[in-house]
Amino acid sequence: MTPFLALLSRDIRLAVRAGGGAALALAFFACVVTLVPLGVGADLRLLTRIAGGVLWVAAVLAALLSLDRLFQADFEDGSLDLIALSPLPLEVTAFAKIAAHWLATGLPLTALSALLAVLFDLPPTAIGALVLSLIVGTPAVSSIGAVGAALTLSIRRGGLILPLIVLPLLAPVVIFGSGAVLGVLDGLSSGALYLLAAFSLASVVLSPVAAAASVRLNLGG
Amino acid sequence: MAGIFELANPKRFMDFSARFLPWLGVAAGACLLAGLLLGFSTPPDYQQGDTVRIMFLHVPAAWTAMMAYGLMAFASAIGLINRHPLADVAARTAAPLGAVFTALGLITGSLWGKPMWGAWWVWDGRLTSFLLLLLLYLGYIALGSAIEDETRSARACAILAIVGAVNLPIIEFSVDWWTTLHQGDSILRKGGPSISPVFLWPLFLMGLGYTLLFANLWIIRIRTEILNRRVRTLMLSGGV
Amino acid sequence: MSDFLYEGGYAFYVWSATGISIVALGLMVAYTLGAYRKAKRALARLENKP
Repeated sequence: MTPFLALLSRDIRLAVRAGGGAALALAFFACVVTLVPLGVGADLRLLTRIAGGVLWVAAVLAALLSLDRLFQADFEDGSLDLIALSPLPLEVTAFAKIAAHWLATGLPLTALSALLAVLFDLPPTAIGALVLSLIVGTPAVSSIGAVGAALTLSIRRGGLILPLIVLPLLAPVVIFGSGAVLGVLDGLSSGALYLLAAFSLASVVLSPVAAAASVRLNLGG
Repeated sequence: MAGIFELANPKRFMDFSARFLPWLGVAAGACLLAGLLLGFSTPPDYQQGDTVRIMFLHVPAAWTAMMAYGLMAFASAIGLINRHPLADVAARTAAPLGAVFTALGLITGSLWGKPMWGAWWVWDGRLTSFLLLLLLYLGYIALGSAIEDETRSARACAILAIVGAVNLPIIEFSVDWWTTLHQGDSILRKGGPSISPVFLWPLFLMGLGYTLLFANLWIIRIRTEILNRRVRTLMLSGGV
Repeated sequence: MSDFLYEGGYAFYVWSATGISIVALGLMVAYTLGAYRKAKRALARLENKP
């Protein structure tokens, strides 16, 4: 098994076990999505309008939950130093961790969203757009989130700073993601998915570089 | 470019800045005064009435806020690539100034918007981008304060500033796109559909004044940090 | 003069914006200069000690 795959499967296994954060993210997602209608009222037409946005924001927040431990857990028990010493370039390591986070958290959130979308009376075409937008957009969330995680890995209570740093950077993802859903609801073709795909691609390619640089500076390199 | 490296030596920077700082201050004050006087003596805009005066306060603040972030990112890049000793200091000291200008831009924008659109806040493309810019500044400042080690803190902030700067045009584009999606009308375009020339002079003067003021305060903050570092060094070596 | 103060009915907005701008900029200047002078004094004290 190549080092990359070994790291990938290790991280996924760590994430999905109890206390690893993946299941927690799903539960959190469901809680937030349930809370919003309680806050805005049961008018189904209103809920259908805001469904794309609510599900997207909730998904981003849920994904952020497990991100602060992405590098910090390994940093604290010293395994990050070992991983950094391995022949695998740090950028590839970062990419492996991003991929693991996406597979363990992003994809399950996407799957759950299809179910929760029913609560908002979204028509099937809109649900399809939502799921597609999440599949395309969640890699960006994991990528940019990973940069934030790497920057804050040495901060004790960094969990609070991470969202502050990452959320403004994720504004385009939320805008295009929910825009895709609205586009279907309004019967317009808005190119939102293409813009989202472009942003995601750029994020996935560039983030490992920034994340690796951040890990290096924190390891005292 | 070479000029920046001549100033790499903190002592050189202190000497050099001490010489022109007073003139910079006078220039800033003069521009602001002239700008305000001119701004308040123009006739009211036929569309916006006397609220056009707020434009002379809002636009310069907004411009300075964005320029400050760009300078911050530029200084960060130089700090990371060239290890210029003062680049990190320059970036870190610019942030609180930029944040204040951003907040000022938001508040004056809101005060400009209320008589125009009837609401204290509208999710206009420009204002929304601006709000996100403020959050970027706050995140940067928070990260800087949270990391204890000074070198790590400076480098982490540098990376964040660069990531933010790369992202900023994309954020603005997406917010613009978003306003068209929700059938909004971006009214707050640099002072309305067109600026009549009589308003250009006060606007220019205020813009220049704000920029000079920022430069002034920035340089003083860098000088302060250089002095503080000397203080810390002396205290560590038993000067107390 | 009253035209100037009245600002076409928008007095509250124009003067609030002006006021806040002046206050904000003034505070920034005051704070920046204050911090600088404090650093200068601290350095002078340390450098004057034998």
